[in-house]
This record gives sequence, C-alpha cells and structure tokens, in this order.
Amino acid sequence: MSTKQVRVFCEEPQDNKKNKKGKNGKVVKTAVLGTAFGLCASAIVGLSVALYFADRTVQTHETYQRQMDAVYSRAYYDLLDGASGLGVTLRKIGVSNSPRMQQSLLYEVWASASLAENSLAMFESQDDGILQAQKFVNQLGDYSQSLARRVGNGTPLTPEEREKLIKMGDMADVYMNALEQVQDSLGEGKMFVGDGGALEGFTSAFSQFSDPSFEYPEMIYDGPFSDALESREPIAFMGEEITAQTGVDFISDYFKGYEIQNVEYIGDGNGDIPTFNYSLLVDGADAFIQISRHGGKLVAFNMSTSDGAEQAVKQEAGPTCQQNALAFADRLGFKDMQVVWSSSMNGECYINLAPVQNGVILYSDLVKVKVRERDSRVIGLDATHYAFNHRDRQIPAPVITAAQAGERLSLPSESDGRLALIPLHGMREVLTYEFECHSDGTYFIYIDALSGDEVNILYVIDDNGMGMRTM
Amino acid sequence: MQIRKSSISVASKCLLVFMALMIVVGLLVFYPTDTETAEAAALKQGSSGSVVKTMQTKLINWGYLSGRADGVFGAKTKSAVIAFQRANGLTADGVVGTRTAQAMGITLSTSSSSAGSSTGTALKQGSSGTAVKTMQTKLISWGYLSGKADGVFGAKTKSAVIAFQRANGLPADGVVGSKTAQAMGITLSGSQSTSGGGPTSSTDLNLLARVVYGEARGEPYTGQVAVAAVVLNRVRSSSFPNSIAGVVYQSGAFDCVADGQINLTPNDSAFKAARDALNGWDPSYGCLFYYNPRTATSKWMLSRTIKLNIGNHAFC
Repeated sequence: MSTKQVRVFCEEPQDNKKNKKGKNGKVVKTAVLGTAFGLCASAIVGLSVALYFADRTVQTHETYQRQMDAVYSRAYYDLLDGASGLGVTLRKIGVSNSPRMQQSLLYEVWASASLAENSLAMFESQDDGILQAQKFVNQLGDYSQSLARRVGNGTPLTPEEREKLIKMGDMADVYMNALEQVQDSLGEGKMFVGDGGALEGFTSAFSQFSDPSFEYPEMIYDGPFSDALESREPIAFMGEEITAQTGVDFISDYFKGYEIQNVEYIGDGNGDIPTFNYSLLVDGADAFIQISRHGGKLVAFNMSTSDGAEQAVKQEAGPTCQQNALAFADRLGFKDMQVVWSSSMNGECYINLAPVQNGVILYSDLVKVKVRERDSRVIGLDATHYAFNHRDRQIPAPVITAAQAGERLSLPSESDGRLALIPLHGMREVLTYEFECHSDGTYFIYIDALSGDEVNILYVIDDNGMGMRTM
Repeated sequence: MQIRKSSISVASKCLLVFMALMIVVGLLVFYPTDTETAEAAALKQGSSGSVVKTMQTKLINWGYLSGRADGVFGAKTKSAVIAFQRANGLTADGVVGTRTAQAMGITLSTSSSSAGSSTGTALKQGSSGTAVKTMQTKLISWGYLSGKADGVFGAKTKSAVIAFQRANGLPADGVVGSKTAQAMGITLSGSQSTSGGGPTSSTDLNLLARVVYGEARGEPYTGQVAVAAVVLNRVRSSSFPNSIAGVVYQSGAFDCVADGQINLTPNDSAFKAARDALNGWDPSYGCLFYYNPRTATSKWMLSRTIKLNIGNHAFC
C-alpha cells in the first residue's frame, strides 16, 4: 500500500509533467486552430458584409443612372416633339394668305419652339453648335410671337418675312436631322448616361450649326432676342478717348467730398462698353470703378460695405437718400434727373433715376444709385441703361390728353397721368401716360398717348429678399 | 476525448466571440442611419428656442456655463454640454440627444427649432391650407372679409388681415405671425402648406447668391457681382435657357453645380452681390462666360476673347 502510494506519489509528478506537456501542446494547437478558424470565419463574415454593401452601392448607382437616363430621355423626346412639326408649320405660314390662319400657326410655332428650347437646355452647354441651335429655337419662338402679335394688330406679313419663315423652316429640318442622329444611337439600345452613352454624341450632332458656311438670316424684329440687342453701342458715352492716367483725374473730380485713397488702374474692360477699371478706397472701404474710355464718364461704381446686414431703417428710401442720389448723379453729368422708383433692403436702398425731357420721363435711360441709409452716403451707381439708350430724342406730341387716357382705365387712378416714354419688347419706345391705381395692391398702368391703347401693366410686389419691386 | 471536446469548445467559443464581434461591427455599420433620424429631434449647435434656454439655465446653475441663458445654442453652450456629458459618463459629442436630455431632466419636444426655420410658421400671401381657411372664416364673420373661405391666402385676404391688424393695434403688414394669430385666436401649427408658385424673386436671389458663393467666394466683391451678372446675361441671351434656374442647372455650365458647392449656405456678401446684379449692375457689360486662367483646361473656353479680368476670373 505504502509502496504503491510511494509509487503513485513518485509517478504522479512524472505523469503530471507528461500530462501538462500534452495538455499544453493541445491548448496551443487548439488556440492556433481556433484562431485560424475564427479568422476564416471572420474573413467570410467580413467579406459578406463588404459584398453586401458593395452590391448595395452598385444597386444605388444603377438606380440613379436609370433615373438620370429617364430625365434625359424625357428631355430628348420633348425636344423631338417640339422640333418635329416646326419645319412644316413654318412653310404653311409661308404660303397662307389668311391673317387669322397665319396668327394661329405663328402661335403654334412659338409653343413648339418654347418646348424645344426648354428641353435643349437640359443638355451640355459648352459647345458652339449647341449655343447656335439654342439661339435658333429661342429666336424662332420670339420672332413668331412678335409676328403673331403684329398680325393680330392688323399688319399683314411682308414678302420678306414670308421668305424668312420658309428659310427658318429649312433650318428647322437641319435641327430635326441632328436629333434623328441621336435617335439612331438610341435605337441601338444605348442609354444617354454612362460610358459611350448617347449623351456623348449629342453635342456633336449639332456641330453643323456652328459651321461657318451655315448661313443664318439676320433676325431684327420687335422682341427681346432680336439680333439688334446683341450689338449694343454705348451711344451716350461717345466722347473723346482718354488715357488711364486722366481717368484718375476724372475720379477725383467725381468723388469730391469723399475721402479717396490708393486709386489704382487695374485693367481694361473690353465688353460692350470699353472702360478703364480702377480699384480704390472710398471712405476706407474697397471700391471698384469703371470709367468709359470715351468721354471719361463714370459707368459704374460699387462698394462692398461692411459684412453683416445693416439694420433696416425704412421701406422707402428717405428724402435725404434721394437728394444725395440726385446730387451725386448731377455731379457726374447726369442732368435733369428725377427719382422714379426706390426700394430699401438691409439698410441699403436702390434709387432709380430717369432723365426728364420736356416733361416726359425717359424710362429707358435709367441710372441706378445705391445709398447706405445709415449715413445717406452713395455706395454704388450704374449707368449702363443710360449709356446704351440716352440720346436726344424726337418725342412726338401726345394725341390724347391725360384725362382722356384716364377714361381708358378699369380702376380709379390715384395719380394724374404723367407722360413717360417706356421701352416695349426690348426694341420699341412708346409714349404713354402712366397711372398709379390701387386694387388689392398697387398697379402702374400705361396708356399709349397716341393711340389710347393699354400697352403695359406693372404690379408692385413686396418681396422679402428684394424689397419693393414691380413685375 | 475530454481534451478534444474542450478544444472544440474553445474553437467554437473563439468562433462565437468572432461572430459576436462581427455582429457588433455590423451593427456599428448600420447604426449611424438610425442615429441620423434620431438627431433631427436633438438639440445641437445652431438650435434655438425655449428648450435651449431651459437647458442653458440648468447648465448655468450647475456651473458648466457662465453668462446668461439666451436660448441660442452656440459654441459656448456646446462646450458646456460636452463638459456635462463628460462629467456624467455620456458620449461627449456636444449634441443633446434623448440620453443627455434625460440626464439633464429636460424634454425634447418639437418646440425646439433649428436656426432660421422659426419664420416659416407665419401665414402670408401665397399660403394655403386649413389654418388659412379657419382664419378666413373668422375674418368673414367679423366683417373684415367678404365672399367665402377658400383656404387660399390671396390679395383680398391680405387686405382683410391688414384691416384686422389696424383695428387691433398690431403692425399692419398683412402677415399672420404669432401675435396676429393670437389676437385672432388661431393656432399656427404645421397645418399650413408651404407658400409657393409664381416667379418670386427671393428664390431667384437665393439661387443666384448660391452660385456666387459656390463659384466666387474668395473673389473681390465686384468679381462676385460680375459672376451673378454673367448668369443674368445668359438668361437674357438667346443662346441660353430663359430662366435663372435653367441657366444655373444647365448641364456642365457651372462647376459649383457639379461639385455640390452650390448647396453651401451663401454669406452676406454673396447675397449683396446677387442683389446688385438683379438690380442691374454688370461690371462685365454683357459677358456670357468666365474662367480661371490658372486652372481652366477647356480648349473651347480658353479660345474665347477675354474682355475683362477681375480677381482670378477672366470674363469673356
């Protein structure tokens, strides 16, 4: 018993050792196995999670792509709808002899061209062909509308106008051809978006429009997109040419009473009005001034006032602001001006001045002045309208009196009619009587002083962002 | 055998641990989408209102915040919230979600408003909905309005509101804000639909300001006006779309649309520049394009004649 015990006692440590060694080895083995197994499992789980998200991303991407494709397809088919009838309708007008038929067809062209214009705007803009194609549909719609209006007023189409419409019908066919090219690639099952999509060929389909041999008829007519408006000349500022150095003298002259510093010539402006541009400090704030190269007139000046909105003072520019605006304009050489509109926003007011010639307000020749209400200082001026439009005009004498014009109104007038020359459709100027009327808001109604027709109505809206304005 | 069993059990334990880990990872991946929705109701920097004020008062009392409770969650309030969260073993993110609110003893109701949205509740011309109808019915029964209540806030309703405001000594602006609503005995809760429709120029102004900010925020002020003017020149030009939105969102027209910077909130200078351009200022005198000569790569763009340089932009 005791020997056994001893043996056992003696053997035990040996066994233990053996066991321990074996156990240790197995634990290590298990741990290695476990870790490897665990790593594999986690790799599988991790991979499936990653795959799941990758799949979701791809799915989302594809959904967006299909949605974008639908947007482009819709624009394209609208464009096709708009363009498809244009050629035929235009030729029909060319041969029609009934003013009523002509008018209805012209309005049809206008509607189709508007649809085409809106849809084409969805596509890439940085290409000369597209720009020209856009110009074509815009002008076509605008021209048709202006002709329709005129035919409605009883003036029939001239042979030249008919010819021009037929010529535009030919161009509408070229337009349609370009669109059909795109249709061909869509027929092959292509999408618009993505690599090799129909969108890539869309722009080049219109390249014929930018070809120099492609001749456009000159579009001069009574409408906002008339070619006549694209080649504007600053007729009011045509004096002798000055130098950049003398421009500085003009500036110190114009800004008497202001503290001006660091006047620096920073370059030429070669836009529609040739200018010398200067940067300077006016009363310590950064300002930018443009002086016309001809005659040294101040065309525009603007200051960035302190950041943070100024405290709003009042809705309508106070009398001091108006006086200062008039005095400033007068010193710059804008004589016989009158305040025709003012609106105030964030402590700054915009005051519109118009020249008055023989008691007639010239609305085309506006000079806009920006005044800070806190101290009634002029902080900006823009004379672009004046530059392009002001000249000595032969204004006809009114045929009807203000009282007679007032009888044409549907609302009682708050003011005696005053004579005003207003721009109409961008080209024409019409002598009118201007009346201010109130009915659920304020209206300005313009009655032609020669024919007695109502030619324009403006409604005053009070806008949170822009202050009082008309539309 | 026993040992083998235990090795399997160790392996399976390891596996279990890893699985659990993966589940946790999975949950973590999914979790943010849940918190995002929860965040909408939370108070954070930029929030304001009475709840913020209550919270600030508590933070001041507890010594986390100094000064006075102004109801606006600013940077100082945020630091105070973070300090409070740290001291109370909460996630120190400076956002008062349900847990932090619970710890503070405040309730997060819909009464907290994020910056800027508080003005949206007023009824004005262009609003519609049941609140407008209720208001009209009241105005008709009091004799300020004739006709029938149609739920649309038009010019006639505006005149009636102005008459009501005059008669009750309120500022006669035709807008039914909280005071006028109180005087009328109507509530301005979410029952009113957004005002919309019509070519309102504040949306144009906003869009234009966004373009200016996204495209030219580092430019001199005149350069910003010129960028806004280019947009408006395009609207007027026959070669481009005929609306501000049409021009701005035309494919490939503006970088800020492509890179998403148009969605940044414009600063005051951008708004002023946009307003100047809408009022007729155009330092470029009719330019339709601009680019940065240092970064532009488009051959088509670089081939155009430059008419004017302002700051980093060449206008053509």
